[in-house]
Amino acid sequence: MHETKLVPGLIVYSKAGRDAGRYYVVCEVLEGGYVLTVDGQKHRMDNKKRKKCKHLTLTNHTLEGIGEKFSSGKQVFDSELRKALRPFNNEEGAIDQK
Amino acid sequence: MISIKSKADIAAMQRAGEIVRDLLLLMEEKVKPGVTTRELDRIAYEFIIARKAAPSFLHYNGYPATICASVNEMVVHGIPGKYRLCEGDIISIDVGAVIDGFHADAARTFGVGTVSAEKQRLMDVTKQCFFDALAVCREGNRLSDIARAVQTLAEKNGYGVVRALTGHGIGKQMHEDPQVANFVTGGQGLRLRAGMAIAIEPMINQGTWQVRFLDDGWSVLTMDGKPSAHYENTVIITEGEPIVTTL
Repeated sequence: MHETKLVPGLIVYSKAGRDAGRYYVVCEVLEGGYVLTVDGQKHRMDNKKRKKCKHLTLTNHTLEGIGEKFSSGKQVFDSELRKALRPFNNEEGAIDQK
Repeated sequence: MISIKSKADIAAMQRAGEIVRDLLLLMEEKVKPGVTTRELDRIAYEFIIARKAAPSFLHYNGYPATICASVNEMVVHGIPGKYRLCEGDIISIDVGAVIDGFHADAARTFGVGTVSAEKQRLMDVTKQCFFDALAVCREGNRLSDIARAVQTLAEKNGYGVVRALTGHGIGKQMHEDPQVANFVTGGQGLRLRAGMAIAIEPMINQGTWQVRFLDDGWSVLTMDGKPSAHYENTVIITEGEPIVTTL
């Protein structure tokens, strides 16, 4: 059994829209069933993507360090987002990429 | 926040673990062609109540059953129902119990009757992934050592490691920090300390690691429709050998 909490740092999967099939990180939970998401690649920190929650599948994997940075207002770099999402958005796993 | 368990806490977790262990042994006996997953769920509920414990999963965030019964391509969170097990199926049964305020959580994948060699190998490798991870559960090692152990063996066998779901800390709550990934994420992860309790749960797909989620809000299936196996135990880190409460 797994638990999912919609919090900054949560990895989500886009199941609708032009970006369907990609994984993103939640950077902010908005009112009205929306979140702001980034992946450091197609949607960078200066171009966050607003998504309806119902168009996302929530994983139970939270990037804790990045989530804390989002929550505390610290700077998050696109490079660290890309690195963290590499196992999700690339077919190769992290071990294979070494 | 990660809680460090006292000796009394560990004793309570072991009591919960014994119930889950015994229940999974009973489930192994009951898994046969023709039985429905709802019948298995009822047996599990009655067993846990008879041991004066409570099911951890029932009503958890609205989950409607005592066990998760995930057949073939279903990875986890299969809701028990009318499905009647068939010869050659594989079924993962995931169950939790709470007693004296502490939880235990474990899962096994069983073959129904005679299963194909491919499915048997998937189940065997998934189980071995857990034991490879257990071998590095030593104080001072890191969570990434667990992830690497699981991922290395699974991928060496050509399997996909589910990435959207992770293991977790466990104790007074069924889900506590830290999360225990089954694949390497880049960071080293925190160090294991004596008194930490974690649920290590490799979820291994015969094909791609990608999964999809059904609209029931629970069921998780493999993206390519190939079978998946799940093996989980509750593990307590000590200064020496780890304690597996559910074995």
